[in-house]
Amino acid sequence: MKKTFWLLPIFLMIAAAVPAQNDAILRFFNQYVEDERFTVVSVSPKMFSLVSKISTDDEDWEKFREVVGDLTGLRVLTSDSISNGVALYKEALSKVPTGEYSELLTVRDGQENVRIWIKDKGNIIDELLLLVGSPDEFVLLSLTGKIDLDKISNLTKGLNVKGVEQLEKIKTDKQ
Amino acid sequence: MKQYLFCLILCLSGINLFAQDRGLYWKYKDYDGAIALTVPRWIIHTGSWFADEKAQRKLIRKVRKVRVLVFEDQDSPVTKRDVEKFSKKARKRHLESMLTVREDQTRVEVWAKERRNKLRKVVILVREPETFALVSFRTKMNIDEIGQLLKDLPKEFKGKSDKPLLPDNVRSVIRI
Repeated sequence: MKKTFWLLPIFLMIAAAVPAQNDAILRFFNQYVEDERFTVVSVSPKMFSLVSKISTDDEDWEKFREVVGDLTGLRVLTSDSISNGVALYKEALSKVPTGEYSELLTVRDGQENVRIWIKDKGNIIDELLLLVGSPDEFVLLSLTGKIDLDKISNLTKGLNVKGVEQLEKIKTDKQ
Repeated sequence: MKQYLFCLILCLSGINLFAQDRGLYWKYKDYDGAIALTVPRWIIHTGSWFADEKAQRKLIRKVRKVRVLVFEDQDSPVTKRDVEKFSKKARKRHLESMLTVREDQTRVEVWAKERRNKLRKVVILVREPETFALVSFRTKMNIDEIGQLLKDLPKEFKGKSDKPLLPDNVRSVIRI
């Protein structure tokens, strides 16, 4: 009885802590989701699961399907005509729980900043977070599921959503 | 006994029919400026004869019923609350949100219902300040068949252009 009594609050604390990890990013996303300066794309797990079931002989599609099959969600918040892209980038940057994510890639090219973080458990990457900020552009992309970094660049061909092309940088960097 | 059973089935099917889709379409179909149409299966089938490609014909024939509700160039009477109600109702009816895109004041939502590896229903909602469109179609398309159709469709239908597919293309497809 005593054991159960102690286990319950511990379990509840863990349960509360898990969603809190991603809360800051989600809050940031929700803060701008209705802002008309941004384009918002949200793809549900069901969409990924449905797409992963469609098989064809097309090689590109099969590569895309292979990546998509293990994904559970995609959120993109993007704008290419704002005046405070860098400020937004810094704001988002400050909200990334650095203890939970490990930095995968940082690129600064002129005034453009690109950062990619991953959240992993052992060899499995659970989440990929991409931030792009330049004076007139901002991209926040969050991808969840089982992510294979070698194959992730295949997403760019299949999804064709603004901001996703930044994932190509992972491939370039690895090479 | 048989008659009772028959009556019971008839009553139940009547209730089922009544409960099918008392949503946005039925609420607004008679409003001023509404373009509302229901295309039955036989018309869709007939229409498929005019498709050039065999794959297109096949694809069209998989659609069982189409409902369209459009308000164009006027303030749409469909409120945010209506859409929220629709979302609630859709979830109850096992429709799942597939994709949401918002660009400027344009919002596109795609809902779908899949059961036993078959796509049963797809609902597309497009909202703009002066436009509202709802396209809903019932199908019994097998997921494997979709793959086959993708294979058969000519290249220009496979979205291999360099232009981003979302959200501009979604909008234009729905406007057609």
